[in-house]
Amino acid sequence: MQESEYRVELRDIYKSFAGVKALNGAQLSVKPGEVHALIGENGAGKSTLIRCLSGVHLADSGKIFMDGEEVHISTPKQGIDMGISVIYQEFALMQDLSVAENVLIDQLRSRKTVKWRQLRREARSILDQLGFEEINVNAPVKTLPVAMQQVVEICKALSRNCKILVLDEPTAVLTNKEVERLFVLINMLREKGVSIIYISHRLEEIFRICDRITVMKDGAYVKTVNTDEITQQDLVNLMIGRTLDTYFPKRSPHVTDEVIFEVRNLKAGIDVKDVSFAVRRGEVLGLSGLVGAGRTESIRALIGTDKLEEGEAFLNGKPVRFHSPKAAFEAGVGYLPEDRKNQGVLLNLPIYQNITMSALQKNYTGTLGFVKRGKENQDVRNLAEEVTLKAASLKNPVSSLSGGNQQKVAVARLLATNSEVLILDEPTRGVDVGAKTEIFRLINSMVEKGCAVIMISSEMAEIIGMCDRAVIFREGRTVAELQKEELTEENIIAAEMGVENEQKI
Amino acid sequence: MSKKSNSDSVGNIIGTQEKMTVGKFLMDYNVVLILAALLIVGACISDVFFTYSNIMTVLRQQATYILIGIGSFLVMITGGIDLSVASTCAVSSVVSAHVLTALNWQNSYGGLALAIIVGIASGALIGAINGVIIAVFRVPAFIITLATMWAGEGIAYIISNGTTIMLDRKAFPANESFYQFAASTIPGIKVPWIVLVAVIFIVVFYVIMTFTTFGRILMATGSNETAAKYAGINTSKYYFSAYLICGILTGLAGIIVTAKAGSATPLTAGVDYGMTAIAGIVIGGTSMSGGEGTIPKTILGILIVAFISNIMNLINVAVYPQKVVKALIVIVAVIVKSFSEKK
Repeated sequence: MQESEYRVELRDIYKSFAGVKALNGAQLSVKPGEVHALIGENGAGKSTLIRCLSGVHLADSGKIFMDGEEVHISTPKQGIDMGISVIYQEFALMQDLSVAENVLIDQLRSRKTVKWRQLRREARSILDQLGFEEINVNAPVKTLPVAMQQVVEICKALSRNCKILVLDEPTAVLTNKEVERLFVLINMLREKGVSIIYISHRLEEIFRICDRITVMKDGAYVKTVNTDEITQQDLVNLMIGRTLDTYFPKRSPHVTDEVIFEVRNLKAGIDVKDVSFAVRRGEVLGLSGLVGAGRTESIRALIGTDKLEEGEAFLNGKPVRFHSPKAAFEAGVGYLPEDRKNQGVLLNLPIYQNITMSALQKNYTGTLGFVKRGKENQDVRNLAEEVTLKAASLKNPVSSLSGGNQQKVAVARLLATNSEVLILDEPTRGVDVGAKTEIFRLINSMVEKGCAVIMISSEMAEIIGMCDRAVIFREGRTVAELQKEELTEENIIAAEMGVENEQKI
Repeated sequence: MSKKSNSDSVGNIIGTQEKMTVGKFLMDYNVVLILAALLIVGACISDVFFTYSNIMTVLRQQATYILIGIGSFLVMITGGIDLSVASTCAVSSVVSAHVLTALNWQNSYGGLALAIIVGIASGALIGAINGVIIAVFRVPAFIITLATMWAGEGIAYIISNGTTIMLDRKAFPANESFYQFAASTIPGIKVPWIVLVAVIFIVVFYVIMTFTTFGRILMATGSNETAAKYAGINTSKYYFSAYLICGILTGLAGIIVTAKAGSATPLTAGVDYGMTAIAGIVIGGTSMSGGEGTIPKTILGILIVAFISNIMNLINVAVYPQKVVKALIVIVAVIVKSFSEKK
């Protein structure tokens, strides 16, 4: 058998979900003892590729080689047995079990009696090897700080004899000091010959720790480069250049000077540190940022589903504070949540009931609390027509509709409330191209009617194609504001990732 | 209407409306079919079963179960459960009898009316306590209603001093009327008055669930609380309301228990009201996780349980095996339900 230069090779991986191509010829080759960065925009297919490697997903086509030999990984268990460990942002630890039990969790599954003393000794030695003498192997995992939980995850991977360790945004939850220790740990693993796939949005970290970088775009392989042969700016250029495949309907400019809704210095939890933006009547304002930059969290705090710690909001110049989405609706601020199936629609209820749900109490309740069925029927029919809903019957449950039509129901529900400010969170996620265009057309008609629309989108093309202006989020802060003419992929990515020479607010 | 043919289709029609297949028919109307089958089986097994008086006896027995069942249905629509109903029923029963006798309110019809109100209010209070704790503090319904179940039983024993409170019907005409209301039937059609009460509540709550904003939002809250909240609904208010109404209806059931017996005993807390109501609701196809179910099917579910008991009584099955049979029926109903949900 011929020796391969690479520990693992993924070649020409294709994967679609319900007809949407997530991976379109992805490639990745990692050498033993290498730290290899995997980067790309939101939705470039990094996570999907990793899931194909670890056995969570089965690729539609493509080959995986380990040490030169083709392998088939169809379950996560097989992946682990072959030495592939993935550490996700949400750890897979048993919070109530001790450190030792978590590190050697596989031993607990065997049918033999557990030798506790030996278990503790083994866990201790793994931790000591990595220089974490301070972690008590008897402590329940939940009592450890996040950084130490991450160490426990890594130790668990090592106990499984892991040859390939995937770290998904490992530093997102760490302080600077903890990041330094993680890097020491990563270097140690590299010397042991472990191959590390490092997914991160933080370019300076990538340049510090990684040997090579693979860039992905639209599910496809772009290029693999040696870190010391490329600049940050060139890397950004590799990531952009996405083809604009969606049609954006034209709208005549309607932006006025009247600021209708403004928020200042929002602070909430760990994800929202300092967020300010304002939207004018007739304007589509984009909120752009990498996943986890705090866009949705800011809105959640704003409409009262999360606790707002600090900050002010002004609606038509008057200070407002919403303690629930209900209060926001009543004031004229409507929110379309990002997770359609769990937050946006009531799947098992009929379409017509979904459409009037938000306006029911205010507009469709008559004497003795009876629903005004006549008015409701009329309005529902008009709204369904306005959003070009395709449904066999409006009495069918929403679950009978396609994703795009479900989203149209959610949009119709928002329209029924006659809100002045509409906050749309990823309005086109999981929606087919035709429905996307329809939703854009609806956004246009909203601002043409004199509403203000705030659109959160992780698709850069949408921000560029639809917004009059965009505010860029990075790590819980609004860091830049780009006017229509400044909205280019280059500018947006640079601001999102904090590349030097970024735009100043 | 001329536009009737496309009254609720919009834009391009894609897909077709679900066809009525045999399987779907069986699924949608299974409670009706099961009840019909039971009535036929009953009629074949026993000569007495399909007589007017036997049917009315069953319905009369079921009046309290139906009131409690409607209350429990509202709770289960929100995805909750109320285990405290039997205790609440006992509290209401004992409290009403206690104020009648101890405060000497049995002298007048006004006093009787007041005692009824106080009894129902005691049920409402327990329902409100359940509701506040569940809606505001988000304690699992199972735990808190288990606690109020114990507390209610204890309170019923404390108030009655552990004995049966007898209402003196000879000395007080109000007591006699109270008793007669539960015992007598509507002249002409020979339907017991309390069955009429139950029917009125069935109709009222059917209308509430089907035609009012309240019913629709209650259903939405149970269907998916997160989505309902994002749609601008104060879901806490609806959780609270469900338990409050359940308490009120159970309180009313307690009054009927007192009236039927002409006395009140804390032993009522040990009657299987809660479990029978839940069994009937589940057989009626209501989802344990909320957001799905109807009043008519719930009533049919409760009647199925009732007629199974009745048939077993008529063919002299002892009480203990009856419980096992009922348990098996509930298990089968839940399995069938979860199967159809997976499909």
